[in-house]
Amino acid sequence: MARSRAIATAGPGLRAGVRDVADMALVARAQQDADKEAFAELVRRHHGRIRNMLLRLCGGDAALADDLAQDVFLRAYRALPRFERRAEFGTWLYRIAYNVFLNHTTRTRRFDALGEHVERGRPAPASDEPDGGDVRRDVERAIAELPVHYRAVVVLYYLRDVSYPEMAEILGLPLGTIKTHLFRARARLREIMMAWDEKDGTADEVTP
Amino acid sequence: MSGRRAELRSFLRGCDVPVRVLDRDPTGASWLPEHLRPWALEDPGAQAEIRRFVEAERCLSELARPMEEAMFVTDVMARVEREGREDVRPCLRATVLFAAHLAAVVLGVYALGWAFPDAGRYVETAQTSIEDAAAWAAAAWFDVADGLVLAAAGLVAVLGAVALRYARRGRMPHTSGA
Repeated sequence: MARSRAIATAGPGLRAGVRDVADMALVARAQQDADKEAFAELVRRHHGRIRNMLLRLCGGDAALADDLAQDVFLRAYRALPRFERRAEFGTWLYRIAYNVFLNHTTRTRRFDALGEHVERGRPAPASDEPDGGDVRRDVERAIAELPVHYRAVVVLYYLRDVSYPEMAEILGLPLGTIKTHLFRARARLREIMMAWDEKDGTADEVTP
Repeated sequence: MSGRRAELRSFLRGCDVPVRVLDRDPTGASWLPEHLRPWALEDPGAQAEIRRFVEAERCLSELARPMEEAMFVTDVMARVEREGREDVRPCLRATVLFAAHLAAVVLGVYALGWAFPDAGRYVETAQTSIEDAAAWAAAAWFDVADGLVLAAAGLVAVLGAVALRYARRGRMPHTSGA
């Protein structure tokens, strides 16, 4: 335990041995020598994106997203000996993360439509000059209102480092379906936000 | 809602303009459809809608900002140290669980026979049935006592199925990375 803590919090000096090493070389080290330092570096590199993805999928529930992210890395560590390195390590992790999220959804029946902690249909009051914080909250709520399969596509799309073929691989869907889902999901997202604006009435107020 | 407003909304719903373009031109002068542009650039309501659209797209693109926290890595590595590699494969775990449940039921039948000697007739039949599966299979349908054993066997089957289901759930999918 103490050793793992030392590895995880290792400073620049201690990390020098792994910092400049490519992902696949780290994976090889973690696979062949059960090198925990190499695995810790992989966690350090990828945890931000994985947690971000899960946070959006969980409708902004940060505690749950972190719990699931820990499960993702634990599963990845356990499955590492069977990882054949045909895909990017990051893509493989995204795929595990999506499966972990789906398992959680199936088990708890949560997030089919919306997280319990998310206020449904209560957007921040709109104004002429949209405030960044308000719009951000609205966007997060609108994402949480999407059905799970649309939400996953939108989240992966806006993570930006995931290509369409990789999205198809992560979600286990054909490329064409991904593009269709993405188009529909983005349209739905905007519809939700426009409906809120309309309800709020501010969009028409500024029209003379 | 006016026809042009509806048309603008329809365009914004399906619009796919990169954020860097929206940053450079948040009014839409360069990316709005030509037939809507003069009206949309003049109309305050349309501009408000476009501003909100641009702001939402910016927020969406900022969602990609990774969350960094050193403690997270520490926690993960602590769990890896604690729980680490799986000692048994899911298939083996399911087999062990099934065997344990089976043993528990057999022991239970014997224990009941010992605790309730009055029920000896039934237990004796059950014991005989466990020792001689073929004879039990034939007699089970005709004897109430064997019905008890049948129920026990059913229970074992259900527990086995549950164990297998859990094992399948716990199995790591997509490990090939293909």
